[in-house]
Amino acid sequence: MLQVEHLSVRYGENIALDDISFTIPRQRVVGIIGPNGAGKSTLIKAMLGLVPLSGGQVLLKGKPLLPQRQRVAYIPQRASIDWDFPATVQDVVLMGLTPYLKLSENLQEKHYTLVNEALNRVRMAEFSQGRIGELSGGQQQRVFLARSLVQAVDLYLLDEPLVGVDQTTEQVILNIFDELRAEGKSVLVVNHDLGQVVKRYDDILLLRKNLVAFGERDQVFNSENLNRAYAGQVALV
Amino acid sequence: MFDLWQVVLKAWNFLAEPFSFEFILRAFASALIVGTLCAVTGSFLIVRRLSLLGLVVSNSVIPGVAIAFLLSLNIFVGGFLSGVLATLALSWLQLKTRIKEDAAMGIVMAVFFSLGIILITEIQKTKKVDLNEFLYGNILGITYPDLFTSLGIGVVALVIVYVLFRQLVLLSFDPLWTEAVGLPANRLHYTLMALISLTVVASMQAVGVVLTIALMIIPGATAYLITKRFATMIKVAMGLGVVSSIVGLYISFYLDIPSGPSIVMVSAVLLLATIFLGPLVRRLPWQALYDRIYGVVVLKDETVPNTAALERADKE
Repeated sequence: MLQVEHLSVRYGENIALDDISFTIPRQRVVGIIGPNGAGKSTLIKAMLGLVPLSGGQVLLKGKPLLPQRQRVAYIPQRASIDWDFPATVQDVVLMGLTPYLKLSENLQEKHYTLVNEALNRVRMAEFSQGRIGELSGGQQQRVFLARSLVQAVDLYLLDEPLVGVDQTTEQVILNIFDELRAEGKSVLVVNHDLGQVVKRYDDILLLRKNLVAFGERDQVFNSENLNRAYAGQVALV
Repeated sequence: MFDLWQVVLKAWNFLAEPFSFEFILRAFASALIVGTLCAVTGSFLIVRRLSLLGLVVSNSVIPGVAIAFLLSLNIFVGGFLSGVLATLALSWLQLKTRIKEDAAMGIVMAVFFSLGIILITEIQKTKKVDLNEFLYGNILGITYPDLFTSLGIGVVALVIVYVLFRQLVLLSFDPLWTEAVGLPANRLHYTLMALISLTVVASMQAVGVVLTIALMIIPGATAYLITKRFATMIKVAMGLGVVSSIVGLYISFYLDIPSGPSIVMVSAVLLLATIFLGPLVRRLPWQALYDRIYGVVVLKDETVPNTAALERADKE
């Protein structure tokens, strides 16, 4: 479903990502793992055209991804926005529908139903009318996830969704990954945690500016590969 | 009873007297337009943390106005183009150099403002132009053509905001995501910049380029403190903008002080009142009051039988 071919990103003289190629079929949950500065977030941003590519291309269902970006759900890092913005939880999730609504189209009952369903899935329905600034970090992350669930697309790209969240949120998010897989969708998750969470991924993409290893978890997630990615600083327990 | 009647009559005279002058009528109309428009576009600046951009654009319209005046062109068009040019210069500085947003704002504002002062000083050598009118406005000297231009600009700007509202809110909340889902984030950003420029040229004759920033920011900031949704914030800001403009004009009329600063001071008083009384006001039993009014004004089901339901029941 998703093909990345020879993708490279350069910041001036610095190489951020070098010749990355991989293909992700349907129904896979893929963890992107690597040390700080390995280019994990950059990879996702580059795929969506948020940072310019210096080479390569990204295809979704055989066609360039950029013109069909509204068919991808992107969940940015929580810290990337100002949570003091005057909006309720419901407002933020409704924003997920904006790319699919005509300018003249008014919100209808069916749109609110979609939003409520999404909020139920992330167990945030009771906060629907609450101000987003009053939520905990984990709750904010679930709101972001709900915003992407209403998009009803086939590919989900998540940037560090599990950083600094509570247990409940982690469980909710990991369960949603399972649900999305069951619905035939694919999920790409940036993560720097090498703990238990890794077991929930089908495939692992190990990144250190270049592609260190990519494949099924059991075959890729071993000391040898991890030491190559983390330059010998990891002891697998 | 007689005393009460006297008081009512006096109050009516107090409120109505300014309107015996036609120029005051125009001033009130202008205050309504400017108060509304500034509050709407200013609210976007506040939530995007770009409030000072209002200052940059408002100071940057001066050279455009001056050049248009020199070439006998429409000064509104000149000012608008100059304001847009300033926002482009701002983006260019940030893209091409490592200069950060705040420094870039300072640079652009100072350069455009200086250029404007030089040009206007040149004009003053041959023609009689009052620089103060550009800087501080003169809402009492508004002519009908100016008023209608201002109204036209205001209507155009508000229609654009209305049509693009959802996308502009999204851009203000999460610009990165706006681009990631394929919406034209850049185009929306520059549309907003053009709207700011339109707001400034529509307001410059009423409150002047120096004080337009106050009407863009103060009502919005006040509303920001007491609302939890952006749509509500913008409506409350409009209300505050209009109230400040009208009360400010009355004060200006009776105390004979400049109208622009008077309007700004009223909005500042409203802001302070909100800061200090806000927590108190929120604790009042609004819901109970609302229920009570609702019960009186709109009769509830218990008092009047729901005829539609009865008819349906009959048919069944």
